[in-house]
Amino acid sequence: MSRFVSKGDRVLLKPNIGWDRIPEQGATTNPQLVAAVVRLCLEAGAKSVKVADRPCNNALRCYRRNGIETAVKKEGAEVRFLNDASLVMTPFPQGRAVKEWPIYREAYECDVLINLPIAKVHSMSGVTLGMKNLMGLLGGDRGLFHVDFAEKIVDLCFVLRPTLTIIDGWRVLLRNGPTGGSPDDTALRRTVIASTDIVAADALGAELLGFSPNDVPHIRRAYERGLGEMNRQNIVLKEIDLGQ
Amino acid sequence: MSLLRPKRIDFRRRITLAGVRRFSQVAFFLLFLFFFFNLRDFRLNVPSDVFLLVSPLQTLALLLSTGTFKLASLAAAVLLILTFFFGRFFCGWICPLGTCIDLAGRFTTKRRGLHKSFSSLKYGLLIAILVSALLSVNLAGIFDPLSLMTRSLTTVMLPLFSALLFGAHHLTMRWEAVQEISSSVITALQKTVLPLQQPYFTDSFLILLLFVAVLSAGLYSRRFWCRSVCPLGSLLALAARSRRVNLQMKDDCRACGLCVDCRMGAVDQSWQTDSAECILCGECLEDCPDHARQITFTRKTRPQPIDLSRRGVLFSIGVGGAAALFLQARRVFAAPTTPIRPPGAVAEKEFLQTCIRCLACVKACNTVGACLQPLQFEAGLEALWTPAARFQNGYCEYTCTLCGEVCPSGAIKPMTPEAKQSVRIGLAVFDRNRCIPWRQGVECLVCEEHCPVPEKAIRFTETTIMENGKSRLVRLPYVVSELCIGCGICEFKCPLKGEPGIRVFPNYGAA
Repeated sequence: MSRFVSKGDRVLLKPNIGWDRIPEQGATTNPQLVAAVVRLCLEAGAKSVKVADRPCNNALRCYRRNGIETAVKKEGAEVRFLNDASLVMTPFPQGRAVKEWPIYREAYECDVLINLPIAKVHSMSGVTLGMKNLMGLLGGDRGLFHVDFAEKIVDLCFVLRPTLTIIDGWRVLLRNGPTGGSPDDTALRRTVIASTDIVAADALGAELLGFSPNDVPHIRRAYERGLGEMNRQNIVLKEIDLGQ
Repeated sequence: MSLLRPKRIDFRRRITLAGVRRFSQVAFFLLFLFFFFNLRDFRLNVPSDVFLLVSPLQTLALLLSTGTFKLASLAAAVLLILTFFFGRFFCGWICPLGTCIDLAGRFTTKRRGLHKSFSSLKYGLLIAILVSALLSVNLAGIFDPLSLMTRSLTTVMLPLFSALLFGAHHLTMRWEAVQEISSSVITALQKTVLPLQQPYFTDSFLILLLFVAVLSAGLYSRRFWCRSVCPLGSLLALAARSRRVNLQMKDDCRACGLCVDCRMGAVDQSWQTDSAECILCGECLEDCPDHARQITFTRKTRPQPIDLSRRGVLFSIGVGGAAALFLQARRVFAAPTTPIRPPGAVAEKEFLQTCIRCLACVKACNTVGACLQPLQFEAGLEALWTPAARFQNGYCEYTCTLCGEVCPSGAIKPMTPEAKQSVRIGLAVFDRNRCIPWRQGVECLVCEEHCPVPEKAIRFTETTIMENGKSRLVRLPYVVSELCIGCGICEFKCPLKGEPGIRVFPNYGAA
C-alpha cells in the first residue's frame, strides 16, 4: 500500500454502498475488505481516511446495514454523507457525451482516491465494476446519465482517476443486479482484483462474472478510447493465493 | 397600591410554585422534543408515542367512532383521574403546546386586568367533535393540542430547523478553513437530529396557519387557545370542576387586583378562582404582595358555571352532526381520489376514524424514503392531514417499517420487514407515451435498476424497431403486476422531468 499512499496523504475510499442490503446479498462492497484497506492506508501513513458513496437508497440505512459504518470506524476512518452543498461543477475536457457534470468536492479533497466496487451484473451496462462505481461520486440527476451510458461512463473515467481500483469479488451477484436481494443470486468467487488500471481491473472482473470484456460496451469503449487495457494477454497479472 | 410587581428578596420563598411549574414545562417540553426527534431511523428503543397517547380527548373520540380502546390509552385515564384532584395541571405543567403559547406570550408585554375568554366556544367544539365521532367521523386529531404540536413540528418547524442548519453548512462550505469542521458537524447532525435531505412538504400551509394562529391568539388575550378553543382543555375543565387542590384567597387580601391578570382568566373580579380553568401555574402566588393567596386542599371554591346556553348546546350538536354527515356524503357522492396509504394501514374507512393526524409517521418517513406527506383536500375534507404516499416526493424504502412502528393510534399496524415487503400499497403502471424506451426507442433502465424486489417487478421485453431503414433491438420495460408492491422508487427515480414515465396507482380493485 505504501506504493500508493504516502505519509500525510488524505485518502478517500469509494466502496459501493448503493443499496440498503446486507453483504450476503451481494449488492454492496464487503465491509471487511473496506476495513482492511482502511487499515493498510493508515499503516502506510495516511493522515485521514474517509469513506463515502452517494447511495440510491437512504445513505444512513445503507451505511449501517452493510456494516461499513462500524467496520471502518473501528479501523480509524470515518464515513461521510455526500451533501449537495459540496458539489463542484466539473468540466469534462475529453468528454464526448458529457461536457460538464456536478461532482462531490470530496473527490477532489483527497490525495488518493481508492475505488472499491463489488462485482455485480447490471441490467443495462452488463456488469457494474470499477468504472460504473465512480458514478457514486456524481451529483445531479444521475438518471439522465444512463442515456448513452457507455460513452458517458468513459467520459467520467477520464475525469476521475482513482489511484487504485480494488474489486470485491468475494461474493459476486450473478442475477437481478444491481440490487439483488436473494442470496441465491450470488456466488462465492473468493477473489479480489487490484489494479492501477481501471479498465484492466474491470476486464478481469467481467471475466469473473462470466462476461467477455469485449462484449461489455463500456469496457470496450474505454479500451478503444485508450483509457486502459482490456486484453488479458496484455495485462501483467500477479496472482496471489488468498488462502482460506 | 402599586401595580408594579414588587421585587422580593425572600430566601425562604425562593422555590415557588411558579418556579417548579416552569421547570416542569421546560423538562416536559425537552422530553417531548426528545420523543419527536426519536421518530427516526435507528431510533432509541423507547415508545415514541407516550405523549400522543396521553390525550383523553383522542381516546374518547376513538372509543366513540370505532368502539376500540388501546390498552396504552390507560395513560389518558390516569391523566383524567389526576385532573379530578389537581384540575387542569396538564395544561399548565405538561402540555407542549401550552408551553409554546406561554413562550410566545413572553414576547408581548401587554398585560391587561381581565382577559377575555370565550370559554363557551371550547365546550361547543368539544360537543361537536364528540357528536361527529359518534357518527363515525373522527375530527379530534385536528384540534388535539398534542397532535397539533407534533404535526406542526414535523411540517413547519423541522423544515425551518433543517433549512437553517443546511443553509449554514452550505454557507460555510465557501471557506476552505472551516469546510472540514462543517462537514463533520453536518454528518453528526444527520446521524442524530437532521434528515439526510432538506424536508419538503407540499401541503403544509394550513398547518402553519393554524399553528401561527394558535400562538398569536395570545396577543389578543393570554393563552386564548387554551381557555377558548382547545377541546382537550375543555374536556379536562369538565373533569376539573370537582377538583380537590385549589388556589384560594386568605383573609388578609388588600385587593390590589394583581391576580386578576391571570393567563387563564381564571380569577374573577372578586378574586375568586374558577376551579375549572385554573392550571395551577402559580403566577398569582408569585405576584401576590401579601402572600394572601395560597394552595388549599378543599373543594371550597366553586367553578364558574359553564356559559353555554341550551341553544348553544343544540347548535354544537348540530354543527358536529352536520360536519359528520357532510364529510361522509362527500365520500359517497364526490368520490375523491383514493390516496395511497402507508404499508400496514388499516382499511380506508377505519383509517380515517383511527388516524389522529399527528404525522409522527411522516416525521419518521422523512428520515428514510420521505414518501409520506400530509394530505390536504384532494382526498376529501375528512382525510385532511392524514398521511399518504407521494412518490414524486420520495419512495417507500423496501426494508423500512418505521411508520407502523411509530404510529400511536393503530391506524398503521407495525410489521416485520418480511411482512411489509409482501404488502402491496399500489401498483406501478408505465405511461408508454412518456417512458423513454417506449416513446423514443432509447435505452433506459433506471426504474428496473432501482426495483428492490429480488426477482424484479420490472422486466424487459425485446422488440425490433426500424430506424432509417435499419432494424434495431430495443428493450422495453414492463411491470410484473403480481410482484410489484407499489413502493414507488421507480416513479421517484424516473429521469423524466415533470410527469414521470411510470406512476404508482392505488391498487384497489386491481387484478
